[in-house]
Amino acid sequence: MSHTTFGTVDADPYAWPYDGSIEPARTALVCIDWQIDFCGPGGYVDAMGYDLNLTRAGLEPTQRVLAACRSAGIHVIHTREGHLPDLSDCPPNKLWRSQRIGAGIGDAGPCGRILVRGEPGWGIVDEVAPIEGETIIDKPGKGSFYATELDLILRTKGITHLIFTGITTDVCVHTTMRDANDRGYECLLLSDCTGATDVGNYEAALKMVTMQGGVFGAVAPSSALIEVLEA
Amino acid sequence: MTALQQVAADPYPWPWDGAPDPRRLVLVAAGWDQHWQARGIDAPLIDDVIARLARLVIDVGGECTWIAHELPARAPAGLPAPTPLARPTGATGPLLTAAGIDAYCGSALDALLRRTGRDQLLIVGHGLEGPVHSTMRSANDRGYECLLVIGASSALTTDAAGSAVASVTMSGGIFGAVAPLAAVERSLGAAPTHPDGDAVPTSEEDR
Repeated sequence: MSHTTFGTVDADPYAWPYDGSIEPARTALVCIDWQIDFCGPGGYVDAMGYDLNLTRAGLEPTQRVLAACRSAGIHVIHTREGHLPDLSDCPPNKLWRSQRIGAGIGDAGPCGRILVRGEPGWGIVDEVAPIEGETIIDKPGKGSFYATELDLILRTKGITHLIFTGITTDVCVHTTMRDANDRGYECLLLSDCTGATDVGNYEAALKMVTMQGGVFGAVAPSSALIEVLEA
Repeated sequence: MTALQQVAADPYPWPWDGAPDPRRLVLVAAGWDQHWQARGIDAPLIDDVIARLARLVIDVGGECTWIAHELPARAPAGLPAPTPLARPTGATGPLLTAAGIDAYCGSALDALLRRTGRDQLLIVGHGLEGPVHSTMRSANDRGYECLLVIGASSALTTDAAGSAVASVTMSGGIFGAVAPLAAVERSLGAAPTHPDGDAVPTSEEDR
């Protein structure tokens, strides 16, 4: 484990983090919902007819970021959206909406039951799979804090700074980043390590982070982070 | 008690399980403080719209909730206290304080809505891309059935506002549904204030 402290990342709208340096012990890379359901062939998003390239675009840069963060001793946390097999944790309106567009939660899909924990489609894609010792958070909603142990784990480990990758930018990533920011975590979103099913929503989501001097934190390309970690 | 009609909303008639129920209906006004009001485009106009809608909701038997927000502070000096706005004339309902941009963060909102059985939420307020969106996201994850009322939320930017609306309707209504103010007024039994206005911004023209 490295005990080096790293400098700030050239980010928008301010050099991240606000408090001057990256301390690996207090920092986590949070990789959100890189699941087959969302970015793998035959998953939930594929079944809804969206262009998979949009959600897969961030996989390659995220692989490089994962390697750099692991080597720097930064914590790595993965999240997965999915429901219990009996769907007892799935709000009825969420279930109804999914059925209405032909991608019903719990229905049989090409990668097992859609959005159900333990099914093949719920797993994280090989490219950015967790390794031994990394935390995995299972969540029933879009946000990673609601009805999960994430906040407790972060506080127990003394983690105060979060770097985000994942999909989709405007849904699960944004909800999680907003929640983290409200809870006082200092947040950075890596612009090329995230994507959405709609390019306009992706771009607007990045812009919303940087409104008003960084209302939800800051945004930077992964190259800016890697440059700092490998300096 | 007035019989209410399902709202002509996008991407599905709202709420999902039938007509709005006055006993379950609640208007949630996020960003109800000076900080967010000062940053909202056309805030005075939106204030008037929210005031009318709030009185309409109360008239049909619904309730209203008003939320002011402490600001997340990066410096360790603590959270600045918000300055709540006054409730509009003729409107009732609790004025809550949230500890973040999301109205559910550190507030009594969830407990209050559960206790009073209010789970059909009309989402309005100041800061469409800020407090309004954060609150709708949290409400939806908690199982509340949400309708974002177009024309009753002040945007923070002109270019991101359209996407804030569009992202709600993706994937069959990932955070709920959206409807123009006139459609909500009709469903609550009132003549629309501006029947031809309040069009839902299309994603194309707002990007």
